Amino acid sequence: VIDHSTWLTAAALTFAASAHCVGMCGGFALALAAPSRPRVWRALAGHLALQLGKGTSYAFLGALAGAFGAALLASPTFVWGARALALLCGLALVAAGLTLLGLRRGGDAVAARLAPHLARVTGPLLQARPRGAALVVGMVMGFLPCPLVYAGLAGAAASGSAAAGALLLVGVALGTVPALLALALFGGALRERESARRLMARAAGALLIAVGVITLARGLGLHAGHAGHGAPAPAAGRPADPHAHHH
Amino acid sequence: MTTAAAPYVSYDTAGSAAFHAAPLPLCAHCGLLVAGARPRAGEALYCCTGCALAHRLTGGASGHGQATGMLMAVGIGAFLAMNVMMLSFVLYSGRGEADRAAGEAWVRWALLALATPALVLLGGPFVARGARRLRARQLDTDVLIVLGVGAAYALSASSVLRGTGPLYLDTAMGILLFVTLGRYLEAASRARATDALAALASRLPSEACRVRDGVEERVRLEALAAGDRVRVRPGERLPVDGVVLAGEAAVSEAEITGESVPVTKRPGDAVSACTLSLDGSLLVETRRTGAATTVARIARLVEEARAGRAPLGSLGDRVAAAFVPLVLALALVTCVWWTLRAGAGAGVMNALSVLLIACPCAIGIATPLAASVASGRAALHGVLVRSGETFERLARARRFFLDKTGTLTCGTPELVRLENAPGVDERELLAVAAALEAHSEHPLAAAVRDAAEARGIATREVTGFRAVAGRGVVGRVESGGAPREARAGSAAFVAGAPATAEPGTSRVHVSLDGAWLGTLTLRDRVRPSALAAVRALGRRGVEVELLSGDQPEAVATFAAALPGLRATGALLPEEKLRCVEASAARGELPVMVGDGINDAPALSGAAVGVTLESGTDLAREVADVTILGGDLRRLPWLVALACATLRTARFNLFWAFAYNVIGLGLAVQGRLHPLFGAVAMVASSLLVVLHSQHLARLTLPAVSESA
Repeated sequence: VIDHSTWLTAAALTFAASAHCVGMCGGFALALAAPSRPRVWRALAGHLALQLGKGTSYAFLGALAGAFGAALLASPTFVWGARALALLCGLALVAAGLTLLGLRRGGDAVAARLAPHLARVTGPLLQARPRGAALVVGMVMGFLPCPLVYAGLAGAAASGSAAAGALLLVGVALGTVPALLALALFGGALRERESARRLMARAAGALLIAVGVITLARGLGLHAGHAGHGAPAPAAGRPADPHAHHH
Repeated sequence: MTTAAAPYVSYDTAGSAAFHAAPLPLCAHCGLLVAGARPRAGEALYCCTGCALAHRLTGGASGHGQATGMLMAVGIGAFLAMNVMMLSFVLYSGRGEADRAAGEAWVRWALLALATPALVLLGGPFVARGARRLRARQLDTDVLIVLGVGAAYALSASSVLRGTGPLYLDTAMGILLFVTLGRYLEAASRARATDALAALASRLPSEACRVRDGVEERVRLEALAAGDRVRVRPGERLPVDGVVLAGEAAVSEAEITGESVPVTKRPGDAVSACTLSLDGSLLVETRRTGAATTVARIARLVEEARAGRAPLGSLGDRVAAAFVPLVLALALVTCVWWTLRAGAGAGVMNALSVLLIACPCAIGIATPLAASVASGRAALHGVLVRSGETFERLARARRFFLDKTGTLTCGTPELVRLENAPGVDERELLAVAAALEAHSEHPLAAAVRDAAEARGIATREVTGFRAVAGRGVVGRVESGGAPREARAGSAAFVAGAPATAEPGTSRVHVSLDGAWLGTLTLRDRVRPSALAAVRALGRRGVEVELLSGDQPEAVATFAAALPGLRATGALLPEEKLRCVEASAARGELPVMVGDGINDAPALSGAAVGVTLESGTDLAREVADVTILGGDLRRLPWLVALACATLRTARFNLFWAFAYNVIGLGLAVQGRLHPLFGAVAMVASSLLVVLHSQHLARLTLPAVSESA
């Protein structure tokens, strides 16, 4: 039986934070969507291909992280595995929150190293736009360094299985769909509302930090009484649950 | 630039300077010889998938079609492969759940349906290249990859069709993805081969001014023959090799020798094509044209040396060459053993599983990733390395050959001594010289101006300035309160100047109103970093030798300043090449460091050619390494980095194979589980990625990072 609360939470949190996505991934979405916009359904199809590519990359990474987490949790030598993964997840959430608040520059070194290679791959595709280019560009986009994805991956590792990990990252991908879709269909107008976007990013940052702190607290074993099944599970709610890894 | 034709170029033997394509199988991206390939006209050839990808991405191949076509093939292949791997992981971690069993058959068919097109898209290039390798009777990583992936696919497909049995599709996809990524990384750090040879030919004027019976006419270069007289005006490049009949001019041979100080050519002197007449008009009798000229001969030597360079298979390839026969033997033994024990079906299955687990996923990135990180770090410090293989060659090099002019020296002269006539102030001498030279383009003039500036001497006005071709300059300069006629130039131009000369220096004599004022001696400056570099190389235990085309006396004087350096002078380009080739024949993997066109044959014949930013276009084209900024201490630093890179690559390969050797043991016993393949794949690849990163931060001994 799949626990749907985890990936739904991930989707909700990402949706809340999607003001950030408009800044990072929005460029790609716009580059692919804008010039060939006369027919809306075509722009829509292109955008869905982009999301499918990105979602596949996310799900792949999530499955990988989930498999790692499963191996760690199953290992008898790592009795601290579940707790360590929960802490990691909490820290990643707090880090993502701080990035959204503009207090921490996320993944700059990684981005700097990846950027030329990514640009070389996406450049010709964005120029020539062969059939299916959106899918491949989306796939490459999925490997862009992103604090939200890092938090999602930490959650995937804590989720205890490859399937749950992949699903959690699909949730993250789905969370970004509304904002990026709106951007692709309605163009740069959204992007120009700088102050509103910053305000939303701030609010989402605060939310992520709050969830991260809760996850950290549960990882540390505080508030043990609230860790029952009924509690609204944050992205990494399950590992703190003593029954989580016996599925 | 159209690079559809093979990049091999040579002079037409018919005597024209036109270049034409010859069917030598060289990679269009990196210029390496492609073994076992049969080039077809009008079709670009690549030594590997990475080169094809990188060449098309960096715009080397004309047209968007090819670049995007290949990108889409790899992209869609990667998309499918990722889905296969993801679904496989989900299958593994969902093991033992009863409610999954029903869905599993469906998932297995889906996996096969996704993997088949991915196999074609990603694996196609490797099959083509592996087949080419086999034709050339070589075993390398491509053969290993095709065997491993093929076996994994065959085994998995039969499992799906039979409805039972293990699936290794994720391993197959992982290998293909990682190797494609590795090949791309490798080629991306490789510079694109440009056609500096063609550029060199374009330097030659297409027309020349022929003089017949006192009448000048412009003719095409091809129309010239030995014995024809040719007029060369100031600022023109010489079209032919020949001898000066009349006229005098300072001729810059910088393009050919790297020597920046022009040489004065007088009647009777030999001149070569492609050199530049700076200030005078020359009448030249043609001796050699087209393919016979010095510059064409050098170009041909470069091509021959390049094609004849012994290929050094990469570390991974050498390991694979030894590993493949072993694995094939093991697979055969396994097949026979299991056929006898449990029937032909089990025999084939277990033999296939031996083949599939023998190919480490990390083999594709073990060396390229180390080289990529290392070349990234080198680039950060102003050292451009053309290919990953260069690091391996550098680390194993036993002998370094260094060119003198422009390499160990700056190639620009510097004032070293002032001789003044009795009663003449040194500052007055320099002030007069600098005033005259302020109007001259001559490199010696710049050195005189710099010296005056360094001593804080104010510039003076000059009137009636005039340059006398190949001799010097004359003008009226304020001195002692009145303008007087001043001259600066050669001993023949300046009355009363001492006629003594010393090897390796240039002298500028100065006179005022016909009376000798003094003489300035200038010499090519030794690079400040040269001594430190030669010493550091010596400490690494490699032989360092000086190869120069300069006069033996000048070379000997120079070498005395750098202790422990063996030096040979008066070498022709082909003699430099011969020195390098003799060293290569002794198995020393020689490194050549030079910057002139005359160094180009030796640079391309050496295991590693190193040039400086100031090098000629041709030198930069054929060299594997370009040091920006001209700090020679980067050379021993790079060798240290290369050694660290080779160590890292060895470590990477060792662990890549180590996991799979355990797998081989399991496969022979028929106990290999798909999960083992997946874990080995992920674990060894991750180890390789993490371990390669340490090259970026490693402290390198002996040479400071700040330079």
